[in-house]
Amino acid sequence: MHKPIFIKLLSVLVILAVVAPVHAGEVEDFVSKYTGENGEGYMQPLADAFGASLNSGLYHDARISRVRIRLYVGMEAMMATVGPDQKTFKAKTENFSPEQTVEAPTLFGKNEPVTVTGTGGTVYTFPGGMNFKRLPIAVPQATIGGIAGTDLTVRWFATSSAKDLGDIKLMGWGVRHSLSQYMPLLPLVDIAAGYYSQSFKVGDIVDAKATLISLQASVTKTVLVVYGGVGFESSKLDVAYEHNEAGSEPVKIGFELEGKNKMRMTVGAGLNLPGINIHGEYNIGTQSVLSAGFGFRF
Amino acid sequence: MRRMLLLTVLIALPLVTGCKKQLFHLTGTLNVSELFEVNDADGSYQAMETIQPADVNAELDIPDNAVITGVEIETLYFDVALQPGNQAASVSASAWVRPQNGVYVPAFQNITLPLVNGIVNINTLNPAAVAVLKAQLQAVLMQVGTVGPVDVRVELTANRAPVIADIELVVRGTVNYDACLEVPDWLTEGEKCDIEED
Repeated sequence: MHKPIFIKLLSVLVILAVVAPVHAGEVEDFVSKYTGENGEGYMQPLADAFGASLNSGLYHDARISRVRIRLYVGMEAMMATVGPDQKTFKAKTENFSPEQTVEAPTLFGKNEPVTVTGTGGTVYTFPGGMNFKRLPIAVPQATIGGIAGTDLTVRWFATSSAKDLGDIKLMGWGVRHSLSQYMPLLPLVDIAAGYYSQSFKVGDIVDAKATLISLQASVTKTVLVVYGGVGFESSKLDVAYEHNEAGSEPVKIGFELEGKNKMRMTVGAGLNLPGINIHGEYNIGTQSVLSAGFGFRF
Repeated sequence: MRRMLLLTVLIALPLVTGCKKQLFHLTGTLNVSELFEVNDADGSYQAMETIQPADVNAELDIPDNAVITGVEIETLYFDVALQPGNQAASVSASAWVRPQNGVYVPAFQNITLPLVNGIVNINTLNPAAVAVLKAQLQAVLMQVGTVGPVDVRVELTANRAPVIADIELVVRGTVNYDACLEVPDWLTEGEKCDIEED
């Protein structure tokens, strides 16, 4: 009996933060039935949740100094909530007579296979999901800036120790610029605009990208910071792997999934304690995400 | 700085590393096939092959600790590979299955099989034949009933044209099984794992 590669992906996505080795959920056991359009429907919620999560927690105020260089090093944890509409999709039987369409579980859906009966007592089975309640991820993050009202944010993580998968690499960067420095009539509110781009790869199997353009604002009152923003975003998750089905030649399977989040609103608050920042935020969009983080300020 | 980074990582670890075993209801696909190497000058071919229990076991591909809970027949299909010299455009195909010590049961009769490379699904199946095949898979995989071979007889008839092709008759089944998988904490609302590990 073999236990192949495919996506131990899911656990890697979930744990992409700081750790290896990765304990793999054998996601192929779930998705292996699907090779075409059904596969995209089955995996789409993962792309939505993962892309929206990546684009969260990238800033936690809008104040950028013009003259004083600051460094922040911390950790961001994001959690995409899984709604009922992400638990099922319209699935069609493949190579089955007669063709039928049913509401079948997505990867996030109930762990109960759905069956339909065809001619001659044949039965088609749509696999169940993993019964997800949320998708948490965490990433290390650093920001350096304060040069002419501009700062740079970086996310980076790499390892090669996850079994069978190849190198895992997250690389993200973003720049933002203070707009409030040009608005002397708004002394209490800090405003900035930012652009962020992230890439996440797992060997040749997973290639995910996410970008965010955001307009940010914050108000600071002693140690308390209240912040928010609007953002325009895009994300995609490409998955490619070789599927080994018993009794058949290996088949190359690929899904190109586009995250459905296009616009988001962010509301959050943080505490700037001596040397330490802690913060939490809620990102409202087609895919909503809770995010929280902490870090050290220098 | 290094200490702070280490502290950051250590604080974050509990968020992302905890794993637990949960019970999942999974499905796998099982393709059991018999190959008919047809090289017939007058366009009339008959042959019998046997699906042995070992053939079924050899195609099973599920985790070692899985417990099989059900088996279904999803479809039967032909996988055609034309060989040089073939002149027939199609054949009329019929097939029968016979369990050990049983009688032949028609699976399908006189369906038109286009002779083109690739897969051709069989959409008119006899429930009795599907039941024979299902019973064999259940016997082999779930130890339900009598384990034994199943004979598969195929007749192909072309209109006096030579038929030269490798034609595979594939029985595509679904195996439902329970398995305990290790998944990250917080992630799923799964069932408690109650399968004993080896």
